Amino acid sequence: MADRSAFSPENLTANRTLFWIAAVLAALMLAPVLWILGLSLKNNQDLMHGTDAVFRAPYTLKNYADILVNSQVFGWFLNSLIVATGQTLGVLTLCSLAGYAFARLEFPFRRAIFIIVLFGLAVPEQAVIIARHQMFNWVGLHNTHIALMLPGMSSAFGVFLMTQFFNAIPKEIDEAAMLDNTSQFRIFWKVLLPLTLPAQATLGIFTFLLAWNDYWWPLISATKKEMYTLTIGIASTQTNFAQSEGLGFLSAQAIFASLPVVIVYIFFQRHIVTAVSGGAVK
Amino acid sequence: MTNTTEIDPAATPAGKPPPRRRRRRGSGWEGLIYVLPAAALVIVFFMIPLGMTIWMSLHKWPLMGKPRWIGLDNYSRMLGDRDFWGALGFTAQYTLAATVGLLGVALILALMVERPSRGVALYRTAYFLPVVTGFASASLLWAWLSNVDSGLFSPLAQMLGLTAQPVNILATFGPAFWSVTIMVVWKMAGFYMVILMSGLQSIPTDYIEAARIDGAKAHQRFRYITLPLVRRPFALALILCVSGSMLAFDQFYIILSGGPQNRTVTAVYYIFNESFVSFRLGYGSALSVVLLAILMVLSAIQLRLLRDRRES
Repeated sequence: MADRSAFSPENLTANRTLFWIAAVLAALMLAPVLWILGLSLKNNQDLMHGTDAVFRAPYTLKNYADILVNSQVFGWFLNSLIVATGQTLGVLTLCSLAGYAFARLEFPFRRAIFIIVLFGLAVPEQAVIIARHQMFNWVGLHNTHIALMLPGMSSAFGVFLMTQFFNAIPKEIDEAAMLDNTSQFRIFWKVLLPLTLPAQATLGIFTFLLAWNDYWWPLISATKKEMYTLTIGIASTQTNFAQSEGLGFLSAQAIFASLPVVIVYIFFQRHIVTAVSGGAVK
Repeated sequence: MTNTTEIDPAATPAGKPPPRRRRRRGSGWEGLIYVLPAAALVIVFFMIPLGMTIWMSLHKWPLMGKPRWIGLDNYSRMLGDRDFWGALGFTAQYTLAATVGLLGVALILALMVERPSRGVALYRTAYFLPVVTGFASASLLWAWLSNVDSGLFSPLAQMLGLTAQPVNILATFGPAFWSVTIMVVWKMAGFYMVILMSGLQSIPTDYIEAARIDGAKAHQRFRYITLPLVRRPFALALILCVSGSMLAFDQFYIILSGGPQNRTVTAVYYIFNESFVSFRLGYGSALSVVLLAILMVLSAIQLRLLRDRRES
């Protein structure tokens, strides 16, 4: 029986017990999400008498329709979309440029700057939040999209990742281009950047997910309701939980808020897994 | 059998990358222009705030009005601040529970889905799904599921006959603490699963096959081949997990609001309260500096522990 252990290559298919444990675990992991999904498809009145109504028809999409006409939630959705998209584009642009230069170009203070950037990896944003809050206070930028976007654009991790990716591209490729006197920027833009597309996808998706899910910085920077992102907006309605808003409607908001990340996840799962595991094996 | 413990992870079939030739172009300032925007943001949003935090920690610093220099007073006050030490103690307790739970569950998941076979892709997708939902959304979801009347846990327990009355699991410390810890394991296990999985997958199957032919039992193969070879990803997972848990905030803020009886206020939560509720920015900064120092020491210890054992 030792051959059929979890630690042998053919584990899951070979071992029926293990297969079922895996299935039960998967069901347990998905259960909370499915439960909320079920609630979101129910009329709020039906849920008043007990949540077991979720197992019976009728189901409705009314809660989702309500979100679209409820300008507040939709406004938060737009804020999240603007912030997450802006942050992603910013990170991709800045980190690609920096990664290329660190990997390929020689310039003054190259090592020193790289070390400073890496040092940024070691500083958690929670530890510097007070000073950051003061800085934005001084320039009067709180409650703007820019304020929500900017700190997330400073990605030490992104610079590190892109430097690694540019380093992994064989130097012969750009040396060939050098022969016909192409400018540095053209080599970057026309020759190397297209080769980093998988890396761009990985970093881009990762950044988008983090930005979309960020709770800490918006909570501190956005104090006006109309500048809330979805995460803090929905959390703020939790106080009037179930009473005024209705359980079905709240559940629909939660599903609605997670929809973009789940879609991104399902389509780009491979890239996300690469991003997470990338640091582990390299 | 004994020599299986001495396998060098670097000797994998993929081998090491060829030594890097230092051939970099240009001598001018062009590269500087390329790195400047990214470097400037890191400096503006991490390095300068870090210096400023230290500077602010030496002041009595209200939200409005003039800061006043008070030297190390904030730090000496901290020594007698029972609430802060309580918060730190709670954070440590949570970190221990979350780390053991997370890495344990993640390792089990990783071992199950490590090799490609029927259904594995589906399981991986399911296990990883909670990771992408974000801490705030997951916390909200958990808060609703934990609701006495309209949640899932309490009615379910009643239905199954585990409890006679509806139980508010968030009203007493023990159940509330474990509920949040379980939520975190549910939410993050998939993340650490992927890290550990990538480590497991980098182990050549030949090693395990060879050991098996030599008659090594499953637990021996795990102990003497798998474990030593996944040390590096395990170290990464451990450090990420410990520092992430030490910085916990969202889940305790959203699910428990620090309750019951303010007993689930984490270190970051306490800093948040001092700085953005009581507006003692100087004191909050001093707390931040101490927390950062603790984190750095912890990371250094973990790195040292995991490295030494590998070299011995």
